[in-house]
Amino acid sequence: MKLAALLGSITLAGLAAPSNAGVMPATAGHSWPVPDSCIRNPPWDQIINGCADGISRLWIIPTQVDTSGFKRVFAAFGGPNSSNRGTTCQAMAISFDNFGVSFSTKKSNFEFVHLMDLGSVIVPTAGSLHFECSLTSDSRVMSVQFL
Amino acid sequence: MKMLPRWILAVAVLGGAAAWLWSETRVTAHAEVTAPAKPADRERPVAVRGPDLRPASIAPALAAPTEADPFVETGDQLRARFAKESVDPAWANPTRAALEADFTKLGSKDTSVRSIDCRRTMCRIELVPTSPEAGAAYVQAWLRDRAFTGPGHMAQRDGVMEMFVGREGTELLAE
Repeated sequence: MKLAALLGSITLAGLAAPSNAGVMPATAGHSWPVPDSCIRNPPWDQIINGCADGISRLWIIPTQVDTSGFKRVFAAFGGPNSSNRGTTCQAMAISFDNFGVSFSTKKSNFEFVHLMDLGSVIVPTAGSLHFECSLTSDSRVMSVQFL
Repeated sequence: MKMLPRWILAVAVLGGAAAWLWSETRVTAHAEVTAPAKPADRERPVAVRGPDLRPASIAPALAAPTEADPFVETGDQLRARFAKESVDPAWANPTRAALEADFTKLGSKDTSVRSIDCRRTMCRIELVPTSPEAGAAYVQAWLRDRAFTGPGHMAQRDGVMEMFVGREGTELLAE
């Protein structure tokens, strides 16, 4: 009886596998259209627009999707907790021929970093998925996810 | 034969079960790769989940996406859903005006807005580009600068770009 209980516990532990979300750190991305040395990378995965000119910067984060189809998309980002400076992020799935796109809701966050649900996109067969975040001064992005 | 103590038997069973579970729950980064089991299998390609992107197999896909492409199917479903949808003037009229302003501010010579039709939960937009590349560049610029924040789906058909956008706060796509 005890043995059966032990085996059951081990089986349950095995079933509680890691989630299948694909996660990409913001540091895997790049600014567009040109590299910006004033975009800073404080500890770990965070990317901050530290540029002194007050202009927003576009940060593009590619992902690796293994299958096409419906994907729920999320991004962890935020502003400097200021009412007029924040970050917007959206996800875009692009067809392999570059002529089709499925895009998510474009969400804003002016407060501290939160994991925001951007809704869903459809990744075309052999298509790609990337995220685009517009960073105002001192706003930041941590990571993006899809599942 | 001497009987083994029960605790040794229990440890052996538990060890076997744990090893099996460990082997079943191991995952690779984003693809399940099956290693060849026998020496004779070593020359075979490993089995990778997802589309086969070897040159010979991608050639037909480049010619024409198959009917099973979820992206194409979604476009068909959205078109059918839009055709049946009634009009909510309280949302449709201001949204149409906002989208018109959103596209107009781009001011492209290479892409024109043929129509914007809004109903209750979604709008259908037709864009006519001078070339597919010009159309893709126009939509990319719009996406990066847009004031409208809802989700959307866009595909090119017969030289016309057909876009469906969803009402803010609603889901355009269904799994």
